[in-house]
Amino acid sequence: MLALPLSDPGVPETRSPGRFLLWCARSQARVLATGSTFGVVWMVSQAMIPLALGAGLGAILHRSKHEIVLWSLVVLALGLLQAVAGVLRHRRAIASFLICASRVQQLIARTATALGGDLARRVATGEVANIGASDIERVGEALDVVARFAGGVVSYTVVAIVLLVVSPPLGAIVVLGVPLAVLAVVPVLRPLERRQTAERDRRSEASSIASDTVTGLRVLRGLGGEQVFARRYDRASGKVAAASVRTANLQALLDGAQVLLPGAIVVAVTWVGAHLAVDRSISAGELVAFYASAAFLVIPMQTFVEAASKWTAAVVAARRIVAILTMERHMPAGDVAACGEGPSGDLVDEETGVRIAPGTMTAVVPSTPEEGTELLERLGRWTSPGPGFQVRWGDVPVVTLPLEWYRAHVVMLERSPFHLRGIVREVLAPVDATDATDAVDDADATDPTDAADATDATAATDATDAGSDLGTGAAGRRSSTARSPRLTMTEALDAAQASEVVTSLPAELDTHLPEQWRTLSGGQRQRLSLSQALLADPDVLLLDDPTSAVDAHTEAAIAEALASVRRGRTTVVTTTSPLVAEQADLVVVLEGRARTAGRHEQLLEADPAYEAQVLRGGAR
Amino acid sequence: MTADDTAAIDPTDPGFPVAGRGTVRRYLRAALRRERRATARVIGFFGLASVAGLVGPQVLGQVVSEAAGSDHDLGRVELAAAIFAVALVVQGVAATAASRQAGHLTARLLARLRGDFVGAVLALPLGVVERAGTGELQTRASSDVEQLTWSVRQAAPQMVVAIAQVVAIVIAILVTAPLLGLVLLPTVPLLVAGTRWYLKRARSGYERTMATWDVTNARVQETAAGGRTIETFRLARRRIAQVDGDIADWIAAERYTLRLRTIYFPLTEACYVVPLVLALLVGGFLHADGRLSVAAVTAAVLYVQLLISPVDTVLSYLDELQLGTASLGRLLGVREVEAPPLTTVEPTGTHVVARDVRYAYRPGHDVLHGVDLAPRRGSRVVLVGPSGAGKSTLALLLTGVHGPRTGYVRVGGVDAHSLPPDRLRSEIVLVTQEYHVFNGMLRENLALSAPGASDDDLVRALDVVGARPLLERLPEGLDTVLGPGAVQLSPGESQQLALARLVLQDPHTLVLDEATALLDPRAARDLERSLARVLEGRTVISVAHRLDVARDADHVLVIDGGRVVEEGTHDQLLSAGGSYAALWRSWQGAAASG
Repeated sequence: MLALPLSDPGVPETRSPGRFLLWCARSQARVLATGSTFGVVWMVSQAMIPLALGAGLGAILHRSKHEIVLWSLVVLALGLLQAVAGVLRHRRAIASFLICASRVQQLIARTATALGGDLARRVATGEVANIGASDIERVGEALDVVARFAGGVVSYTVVAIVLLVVSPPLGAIVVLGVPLAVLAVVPVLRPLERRQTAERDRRSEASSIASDTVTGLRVLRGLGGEQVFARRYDRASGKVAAASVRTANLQALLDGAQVLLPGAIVVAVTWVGAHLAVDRSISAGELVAFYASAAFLVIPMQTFVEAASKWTAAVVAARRIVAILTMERHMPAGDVAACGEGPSGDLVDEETGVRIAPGTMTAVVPSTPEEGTELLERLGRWTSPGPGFQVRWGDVPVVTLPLEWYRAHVVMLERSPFHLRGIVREVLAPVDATDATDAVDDADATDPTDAADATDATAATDATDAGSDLGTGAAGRRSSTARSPRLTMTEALDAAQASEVVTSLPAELDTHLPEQWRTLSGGQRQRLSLSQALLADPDVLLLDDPTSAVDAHTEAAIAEALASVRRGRTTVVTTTSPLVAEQADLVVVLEGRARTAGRHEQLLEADPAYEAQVLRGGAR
Repeated sequence: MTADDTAAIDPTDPGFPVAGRGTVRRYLRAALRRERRATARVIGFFGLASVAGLVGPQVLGQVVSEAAGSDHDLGRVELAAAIFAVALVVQGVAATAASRQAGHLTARLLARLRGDFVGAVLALPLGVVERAGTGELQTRASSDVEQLTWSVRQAAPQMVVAIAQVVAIVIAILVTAPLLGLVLLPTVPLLVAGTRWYLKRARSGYERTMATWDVTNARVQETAAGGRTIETFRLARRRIAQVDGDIADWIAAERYTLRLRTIYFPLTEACYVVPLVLALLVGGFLHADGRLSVAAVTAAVLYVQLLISPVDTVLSYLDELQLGTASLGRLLGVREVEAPPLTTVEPTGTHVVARDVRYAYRPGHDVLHGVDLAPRRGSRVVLVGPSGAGKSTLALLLTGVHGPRTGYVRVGGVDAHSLPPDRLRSEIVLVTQEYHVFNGMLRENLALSAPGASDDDLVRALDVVGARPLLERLPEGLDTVLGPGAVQLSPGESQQLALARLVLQDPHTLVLDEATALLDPRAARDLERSLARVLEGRTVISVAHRLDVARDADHVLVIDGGRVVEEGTHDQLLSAGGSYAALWRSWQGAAASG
């Protein structure tokens, strides 16, 4: 078997599902070819066994011990040959499956990472889940069945020729009758599959009710409603049973037909063959060979039916896979290295007039949570500003900066981000040289002077918004030499008050967190996630209400630590907590536009509305 | 269903018991006894089909011997063929009937089993649910039910058919040519030993294969769902490396099982062919020596060949059956959860008292060290303190979810945790930050606690929690279906829903553990105010992280390190000048507190 996973899954042919499947097949042609060769040897040797048995019985009729021994050895040799060829065929078939399935997984993963946050916007994530749950296997199975198909074709041909040569009439019954008997049930397969699908749907409905009940068990046991849910499940379960009965009824017909139809061919062979044998047109041994061959030929015929259905299913599955693989992201090209450490000057959101001075911590107190989120999304380039507006960094519109560079320097921590599963230590670890997608980090080291000259004048030339832009540009641009040293993991955890979260975990930093960190409470998730953002240590960190789920004691500690670990870096935090606002260099009050700005204490004194907003009790 | 969380390879937490083999056997026996007639019919039809299937080789033997003989009696040939045809029809009809009956029987058995399982889940004690979590139950409800369905619907009938066939064929061989029965013997020990060797390794091997495949899938799916997080933290290359690593694990698992099959498959194949060869050889020699008729040899050889397929079926489904039994054990295990002894004593009065309460999740690690709490009826008590101080644990004890290690929590003089759940919840109810919106109509989601509530009651409850705008947004009002695949509520709205349930429930004491934490502060404030109006006269104990809530309380407890470190009214605590006062000052800011 090849070394898997492949070091490079290659560039797929995605013009159509069929072409994609052929590309997969071509990419592993060798394995398919050897597999098919073994498949042919395997099936042909199986096909020869009935013929050898017939010859053996002929020998028995002649009472020739010598011949009996000879034919017994032939049967033995064929049996062992088919056993060995069979397992070799199986190994190649599994290899075909594994190569194909792992290749498609790799391709999907690569496409998904290239699309990043874009993918979820463009397809329901359930679709990707479906691909993993079934489509990949469908495509793999299409290649798995190739070797058996090849064996089936050759063995059927060989047996057909032999039987037709030995006895044209009897051969015709077998060679034509068996396919008819197998194909006759094909029309039942589609309705059966429909009923099976219906049964499966009912099952998954019942299963989702069960899982919903289990997930909400605390509520049900705490508040009541157990009887309602028990009845609800019973109804769903009853539908499953009814659907199973409908499937069983049709399945029973199919089971019966699969006995009767090939059986009828065997009876016909026996009856006609008996006459021919009595007439001495064929020998008694040959009659036995025909009898056993009729039973054998059912196998290749069933393989043909199976291959046809697998290939059909694979085309459907490939269509969904290709739909994902052909997605591309339109990213403005740009020279990442040329950006150096980026523009200088304030980060300005024209839509609200919020102006962020570099190297400071700004608290934004929005009138609704959505307003705060939207501001950060614009600053972080996750959404575009409204028509006519821009987000500028100094005098550079941020859309002109390469996104790759921007992501490396501006990080936004969402209010409820998607938490990736993994070992705590690995989840928290920031990207480094070994896994950064490019040399973005190195860009910091380049000479900043040319960029600086170009943007120093921004504050002055910014005539249009100067009147309404609040905040101060006076802090000016801090040079990169003021950058604090990178945080250690312990420091980041301490700052986010997440050390006690980690120590409460069964294996501390080596604990495996499930998807969405479901085993943690809301507050624990929030603190751990904040440590992750702090560890990433970006030039600009945008935090969307990062303390909403923690208690006041913890919040106070986080706010204080935040100011300290982010010193010298730019931090924007949306909040309604006085404990956070107190720590900020500047508080901006947002109501549609930036209404007012100042230090927390100044605003408390000067602005009663602000006081009411952050100190809820004060408004009464 | 989605891949969800089936992927974590960590060993399943043995949170719930697994039923032993004896229990599983007893359950199955009882289930089949209830279906005695249907079971008998299934076995009868399968048996009949198997016996009818034996006719073919006999007929062929007759024909061969007839053809080989010198005086041909065409009549006997015709008769034999006719018998064959009749037997075939009998076999076909019996197989149809058996399959149909088996399908009906298994559908009923599975329905009953599913019902028993969900019934047991719904009767689990609150404390058990809280401690063990619902993750493992989730696995049992989904994958174990699926596995069992597969085993019962597919493997069990196939197994019954195959065993019936094997028995019938072996008997037929012994009847036709007793001596030739011996040819089967040499390979039996080899087949048994080989199968044991294989099964011992196969199970864990295939489990690893499935688990690693699920991990790979889940990772790819997560890469799609968590695209934004990946982009934010620039994890693309790391993700690709992780997926490749997952694939490598999966391939290694697949290679292991493939190695097992590489040994086992040829072994069984050889075991199948050897008896055939021996039958031909020995039968031939016996015939040559005139000790066995040609008809008997022919039939016996064909029988031996006929035996291969059912034996193979038995061997390949053994594993499935084993897995099914294991799943059944896990499903039945839920019924073995021990419920704490419940009392039938009725509470007198509505007073809630906690006295010298100590509690430990792990023996020797108390998280509460002697807490006392006796809220005045109708008062508002607020618990504040740093994370991990034990506030939430206290909330669980107050609402009878857990019983204290020492001391007591009593509601109307009765130990809270010994009250039956449906009794307890009419007295005291806990609402936490963890919410759940059931997949169903808004009406069903609300009326959990009050099945008889009118639409007006429901709308009023929504009003109280400030969810009127939500109701108006929903296309079909109370009949709107909520949950995945339908209308999704935001965390804040879900919390409002949880509180509306509480309003409908109307217990005399409420414990709110950060029950408005997911709402934005302004909405939370409004909600708390309107809730306070409705809850007039009820005792409310809330765990809060916003200090302004504490200011309005009748009584504030500052909890730290599992102890009550300060308590009193807001003003008393302020003048005491302790940690609460310090925190309040920083909350207020220097300017406001001056």
